[in-house]
Amino acid sequence: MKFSEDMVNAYADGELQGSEKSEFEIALMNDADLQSALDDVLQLKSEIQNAYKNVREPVQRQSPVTNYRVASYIGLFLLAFSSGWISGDFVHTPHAISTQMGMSTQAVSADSAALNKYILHIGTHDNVKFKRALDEAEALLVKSQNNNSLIELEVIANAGGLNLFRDNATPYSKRVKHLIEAYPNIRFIACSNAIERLREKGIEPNLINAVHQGPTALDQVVMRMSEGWSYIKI
Amino acid sequence: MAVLNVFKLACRKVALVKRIEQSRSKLYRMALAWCHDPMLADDLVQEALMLALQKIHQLNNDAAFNGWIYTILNNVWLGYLRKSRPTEDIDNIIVADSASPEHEMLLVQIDFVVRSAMAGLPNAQRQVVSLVDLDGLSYSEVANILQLPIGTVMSRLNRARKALSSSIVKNRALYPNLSSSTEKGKFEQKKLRVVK
Repeated sequence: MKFSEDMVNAYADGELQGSEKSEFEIALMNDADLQSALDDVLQLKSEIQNAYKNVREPVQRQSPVTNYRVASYIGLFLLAFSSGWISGDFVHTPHAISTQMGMSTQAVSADSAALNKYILHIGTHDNVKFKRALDEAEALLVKSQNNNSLIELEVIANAGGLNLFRDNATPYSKRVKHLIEAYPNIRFIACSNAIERLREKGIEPNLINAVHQGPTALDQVVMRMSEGWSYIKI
Repeated sequence: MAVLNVFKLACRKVALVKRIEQSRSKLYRMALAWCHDPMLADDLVQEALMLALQKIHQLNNDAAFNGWIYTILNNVWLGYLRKSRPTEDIDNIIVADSASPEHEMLLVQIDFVVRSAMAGLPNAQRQVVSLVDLDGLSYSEVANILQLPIGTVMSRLNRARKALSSSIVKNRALYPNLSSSTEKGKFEQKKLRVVK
């Protein structure tokens, strides 16, 4: 067999082109060892594919992105644009809101800033980040009140971030309750996966009253982004 | 013209969000092949997808989506390994398959043997062989995702396949009552040959 194992692999993986591939295929017709080596690689590839083919995620979820939502978002967007609500500056500009609001968040785009819908995500147990999330949520709410503009805001927590919403784990229980009482347009949402993980460990999450149990954080963020909301990772 | 551009950007963003969400199953399969722990794989994928959504504005070329999303998953996986096993050489980390043989034997026996063999590979080889064989990525795509020269991808792939073959043969000897996938394998193999 005049071809190296690397060449056999490369042929099996569709990596050989042109004359290299032709030479290999000519040799394949007359070289039993080469045929056998190639068969072994192809069989192994097939067995690896089969071994993982049927694996399913632990929690089956439905895609939250529906054509209806996509269509409604685009429709809303066009309406907003044609009415002059949105300026022509649609290009993603991280820090657009940060600059406007004096905040430090990233991944904020100018497009949905004009739509005034934000989803803030907190995924780690970090009291500094907890405070920042609440500061930024409040800053957006105050700003919209001062400007007489409409705003919708969701704060979603998963993994260690869930502790922000747990009565016996957060130092900000009073502040969360105050925001819920003071602003009807803010929703606090706890990721269902994170709640499930706690319960699997025998820990009851004890969420602050009026914190909603949502779908997974990922599903919620995907759904909101599909509807044109701005995603702010804390 | 400005309206049209705005519309195009809006459509592209929505399409990308949808594409990111739709890649969840294939990322899960890959993460499971890397870590062999269903719950951990789910966490890794969630984190990777959240990061992808956060960095969505960084993807300028839609054709690069696969490499981009796998690069994010790889970074999340390496981050997890660095945090959870800080004293070990990441390339050489071997994982344990969290599924019990008894449970797996009830499902598809040969799948258990193959997955056990995969779990026994060093991380560096396991990542390469799963990217090439599970998702059919090209060597250059794998090299970009893992930040390796193509020659290293090829040598790791070769070592991985040799180790897997040897491990599978050994495990088959250990479990003589395993249902064989030989016929199934040969069937799939023929299909692969025809495709070529």
